[in-house]
Amino acid sequence: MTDPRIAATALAAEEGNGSARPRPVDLELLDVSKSFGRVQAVTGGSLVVHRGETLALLGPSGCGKTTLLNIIAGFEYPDTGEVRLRGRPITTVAPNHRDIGLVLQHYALFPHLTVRRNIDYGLRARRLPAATIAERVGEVVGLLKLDGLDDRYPAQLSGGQRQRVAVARALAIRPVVLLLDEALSALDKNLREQMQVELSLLLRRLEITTVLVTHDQREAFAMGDRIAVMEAGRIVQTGTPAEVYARPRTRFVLEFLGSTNCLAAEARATADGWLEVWTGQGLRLRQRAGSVAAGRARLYVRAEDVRLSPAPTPVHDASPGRVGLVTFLGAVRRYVVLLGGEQVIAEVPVHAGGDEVSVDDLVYLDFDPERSYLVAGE
Amino acid sequence: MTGVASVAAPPLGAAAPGAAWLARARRRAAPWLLLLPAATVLIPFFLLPLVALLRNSFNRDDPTALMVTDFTWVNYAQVVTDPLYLGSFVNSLAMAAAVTAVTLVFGYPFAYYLVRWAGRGSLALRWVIYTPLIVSVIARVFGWMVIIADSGLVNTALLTAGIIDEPLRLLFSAGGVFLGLAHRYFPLMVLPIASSIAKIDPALLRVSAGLGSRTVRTFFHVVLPLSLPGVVAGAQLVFAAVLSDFVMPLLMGSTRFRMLAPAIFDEAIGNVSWASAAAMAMVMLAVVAGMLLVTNRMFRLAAPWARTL
Repeated sequence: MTDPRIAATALAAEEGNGSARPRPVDLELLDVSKSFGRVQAVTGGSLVVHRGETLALLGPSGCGKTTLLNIIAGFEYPDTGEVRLRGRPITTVAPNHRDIGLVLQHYALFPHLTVRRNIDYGLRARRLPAATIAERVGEVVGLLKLDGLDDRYPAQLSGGQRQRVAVARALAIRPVVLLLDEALSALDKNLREQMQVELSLLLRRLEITTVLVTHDQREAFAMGDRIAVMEAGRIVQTGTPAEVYARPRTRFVLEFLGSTNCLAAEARATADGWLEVWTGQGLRLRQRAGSVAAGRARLYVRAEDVRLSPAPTPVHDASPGRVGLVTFLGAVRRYVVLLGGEQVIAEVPVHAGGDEVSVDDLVYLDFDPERSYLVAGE
Repeated sequence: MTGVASVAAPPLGAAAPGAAWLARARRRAAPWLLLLPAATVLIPFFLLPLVALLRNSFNRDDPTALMVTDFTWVNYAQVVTDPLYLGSFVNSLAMAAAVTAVTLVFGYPFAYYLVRWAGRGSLALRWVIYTPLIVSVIARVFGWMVIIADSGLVNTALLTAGIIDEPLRLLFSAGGVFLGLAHRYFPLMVLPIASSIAKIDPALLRVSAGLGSRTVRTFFHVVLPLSLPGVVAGAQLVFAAVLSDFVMPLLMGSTRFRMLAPAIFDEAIGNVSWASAAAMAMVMLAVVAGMLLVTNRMFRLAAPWARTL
């Protein structure tokens, strides 16, 4: 693919700051907060979504992402803060005056209306001329490959077809912003991944500004140009998938993204401004002294960054671990190494070569200290 | 993980063919066994009397011999020609239509409120609905008497206020029967409608708003069509119940507004004309059955989607 915009996004990811984005802003949340009784659902949420961009709002259930979506769609009004759509404040505008397309988890197709009438529902609500309606319906029917299903009822469609009708219905009104609320999570895995690709291509082609709400990290990474990770009502980090993955800003983000090993560690400052880190299992490494002070800490290292070695390594030169389990996962082989009462998981690409390691072998861990993360605290 | 487990195949032909046949027979018999308790009551005490009634309707009433076995359409001819019988039919049909219409008009908003807004008050409101089903019909009629009799609350109030000079005839009139019936069968209208509104996925209402519909449009394009099954069920129940109601016309009505069920009772017990009473009952049954068939057909035409669910 030679889409210049994809290249631009990749470049921005390389730079790591994403400063060069000339595209106009379609959706803006300014310091939005919302509480229900004593429960603070969203605190100080600020977001900017540019034209044609897909922003994935990622977080576990109960983190406030659905409340944020409801605020964007107009089903909830925030207690404080402002929502802007193409610069227009819409904080307390009713949902039916917002021009926001909605695709919900279980599609919420109207069971009493045919596919055609589901799709033209929003166009009829706008009282557009019949010719315009027919033209727009034809357009989205073509885009989502729904030809020939006009007169079916939703109950007569497959899961994938329902999904497409829901997207078609949302796109037919030519929304300023498309909201996808766990829109793919009701599909089974293969179909879901297929739809992720298909939808991403479609949204890119039509330059639809999209906010995708999901609890699924893979989906957020697969579809999001940028990711906003939410924890307990706050947006804790925003950036491209690569940025967020490589430089997680909080322990939560670190633990939420990817499969990560966590070891209790002790850090001590050295004279030359580095930190010396020990774990109880014989790992020893040096890290640049950043925000973490000396003392008790946790050392995180991702499974795919861990290598196994029969000989001592720079980070692990005493008391080797024992391989407890080897699992073949297709693209990678997963090793569970028992190391002084802890389990460390290493995922090694199957085609990476190297020595064969089998159960009960004694191994030393190896990883780049630059690719490990030190977090203060127990 | 991702391994494919090998499943041991069950040994084929291990069980004797007779045992398999028995197992299949048992599985087939199971649903019928569940119907057995109901059938033991319904067949002797409902179905057989109904068949007897059908047979009686073709017999001939005889002034001297009670009822003579025969096969004649005379009773049916009498039902559809005699203005007295016909009148009670028309009265009952009109009453059924009026009560159905009024309970629908009052019941739909009530049901909608019950489901969509009432929240915590919903339980109290539900009890308001259930009380007519719980309190004895006699007690309720006496309640109505206190309110609408010549010397009842309404008339006393109106007289005292000087709005009327003499008491209005409310009790023992068509109007009184109407009130009693509408009150009695209100729950039969509200409950099916409420349950069909409750079944509507709230996400549909949000999507409708998101697509640009105001609440009113959402109501007419989403809520009303989707609650149609409840409306049809409620209307059918109320219509059939009013058409065959015996107690209300008897206790609150007047002989100047004859209704069907008391007319049949008079014919059978007062005139000892069992055959013609049976014919009247069969016609009433046919009208109710016809009404159900017609409304079901209308519903299928109006809501072809319902069959896809």
